[in-house]
Amino acid sequence: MSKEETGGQQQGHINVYLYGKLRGLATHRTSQGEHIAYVPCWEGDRIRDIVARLNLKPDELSHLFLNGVYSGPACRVKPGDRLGLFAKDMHLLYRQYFPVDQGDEDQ
Amino acid sequence: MAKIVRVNMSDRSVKTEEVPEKYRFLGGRALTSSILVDEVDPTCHPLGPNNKLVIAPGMITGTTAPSSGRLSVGGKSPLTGTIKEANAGGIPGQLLGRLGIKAIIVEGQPRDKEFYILKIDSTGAQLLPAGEITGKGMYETNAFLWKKYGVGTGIIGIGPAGEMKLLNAGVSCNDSENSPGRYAGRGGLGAVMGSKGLKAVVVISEKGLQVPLADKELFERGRKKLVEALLKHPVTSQTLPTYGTAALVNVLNEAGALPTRNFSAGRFEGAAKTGGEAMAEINPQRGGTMSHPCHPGCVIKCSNIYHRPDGSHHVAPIEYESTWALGANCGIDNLDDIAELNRICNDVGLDTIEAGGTLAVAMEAGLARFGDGKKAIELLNEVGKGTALGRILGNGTEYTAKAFGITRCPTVKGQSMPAYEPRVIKGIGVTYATTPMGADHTAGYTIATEVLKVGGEADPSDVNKADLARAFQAVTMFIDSSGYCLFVTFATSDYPEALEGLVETINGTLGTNWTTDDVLRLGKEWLKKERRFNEAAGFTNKDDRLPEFMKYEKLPPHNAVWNVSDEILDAVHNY
Repeated sequence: MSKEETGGQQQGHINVYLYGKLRGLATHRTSQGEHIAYVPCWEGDRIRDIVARLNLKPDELSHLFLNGVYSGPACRVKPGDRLGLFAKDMHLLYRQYFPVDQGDEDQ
Repeated sequence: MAKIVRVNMSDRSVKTEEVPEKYRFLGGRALTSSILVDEVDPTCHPLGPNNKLVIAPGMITGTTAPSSGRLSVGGKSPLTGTIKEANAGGIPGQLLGRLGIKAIIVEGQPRDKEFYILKIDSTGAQLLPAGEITGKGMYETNAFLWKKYGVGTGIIGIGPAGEMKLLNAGVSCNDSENSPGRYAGRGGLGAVMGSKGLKAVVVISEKGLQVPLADKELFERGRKKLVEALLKHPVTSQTLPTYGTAALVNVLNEAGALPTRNFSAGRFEGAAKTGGEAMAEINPQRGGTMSHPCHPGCVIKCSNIYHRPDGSHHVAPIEYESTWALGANCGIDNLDDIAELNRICNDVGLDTIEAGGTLAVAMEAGLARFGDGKKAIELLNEVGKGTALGRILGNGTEYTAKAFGITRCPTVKGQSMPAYEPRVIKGIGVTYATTPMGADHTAGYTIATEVLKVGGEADPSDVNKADLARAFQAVTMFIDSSGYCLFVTFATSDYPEALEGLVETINGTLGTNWTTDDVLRLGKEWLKKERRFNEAAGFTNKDDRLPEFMKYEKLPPHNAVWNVSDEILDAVHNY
């Protein structure tokens, strides 16, 4: 259950950079062509919570980068973080390129 | 019956030879490198009469195997001083394969300063004066040769850079639309071709010719497995056809591993304007094409034909490495300026990676401001004019860095690094450092660790990194020899049946009995040959290092430095 549903405290926003088909979810498009959504963040949130808040299912994604680190959905996030989400049709990395930071618990 | 065409430019003789037994099952890079090891003195001057240029289609190039039209070009590199192989798509490889040409060996040196064309068809090969196409760019050259020899003629040629024997000269191959943009670009092999006085090889297209198959049923079985795998793998069936290789721009940028402004940062604020998504958005609106095959029979179709704002054809293709080298690495975020820089490279006959690396160093030297696309176009045009500045720039990144006293020079063995920051992606850095080719991402792109049963972790202190890099390089060596595009490894990495299919198509063509285990074994064997050539040329482990600045300059946003030990790098060669 997400923090907002349990009445947790909103702490700020995550800057979500969207790629491929996900660009349509952006609320801002910068002059540099970046597609960004500013998603509310609660204490204890993980990447998967942010993904769910965008109404995305995990199988719609290929690569996740949290602050430039190739990450798994269990990684914790905090306000001001940069989260890069790549759509399924942007799957382009060989597994060996990056170690995946899977977060600190429960996969 | 397969044959070798031997061209001696000293006396302008052309001979057709039987293929020696030792070369019978070789193709592509394994064949070019084997011939060089057997016939070229490793200490020779790369642009002198004792070097040789070897052109060889892959083992199955010319068959109906999917995405298998690669053509290898080899020689001792004037850029790196090492043995060199660069390969390209386009149509000449397939046409040579169907004519039964296993290799073309160009040796000697003309006594005059004339340039020649080697014309090859089913009746044989002959040298002809290049005449009026001497000095011409590749677009004009290709148009002239199609007019003279017919639509569909395969062309392997050099632009003015190759004729001037500049160290960044590549070898162009044309595609089905006669664009010259399929380059065996790396290592200055165009300068070797220029030193031989050879402007172009024209391969006449003839209907009805086929590569003979040793076991048609086995070949078909393997072909179907591989086609099915390529058509279901998300990379080869979705990402590459939709966005092209430039889809990587945003991925590497998000990872903080997109070299920016001459390798001074890992993230470029203008990346989104230069990547695959931007191309896929604006190019079709202008009438351009995404999902374009570089040769008939490619099922991946990662290429594109990029159009200008007025709808006219601008350049084909803009690949990831090119949009990065001429974009982020120069701080340029205007895709149309990048396209023009790419077009100049294709016309003058330059490798885009080396050209971008050179421009970035020139910008650091103050010849232009980072991000000034128009000035970059001006500078690159100097190369084709043959001015003094143009000749400095045409000799590549390291030469230009020396000319202007720049210490941030991102090269290994004299060759400019491609579009993956080794301070962040350590594994590719190990490949840059240790491949016999100089900094080259394709020399050890990747393989499936599961399928090939090799280990490897991303921890930079883990010596297994060397095992992984060695295996990557060995498998890439095999793929480069087969004639398959390296992108089939996305499927062979994830689906065991795809790798089986790949080996079956080769066995079905050659009559070999190789297994998937032989991929690694043969790759290592051939790599060792290349390593021996380099050792005889004077290279040691001390040359297998990344540039010093990467050890102390922290790369934002991760503030990473190159911290892989020399011991790990040296362990790569423990075959």
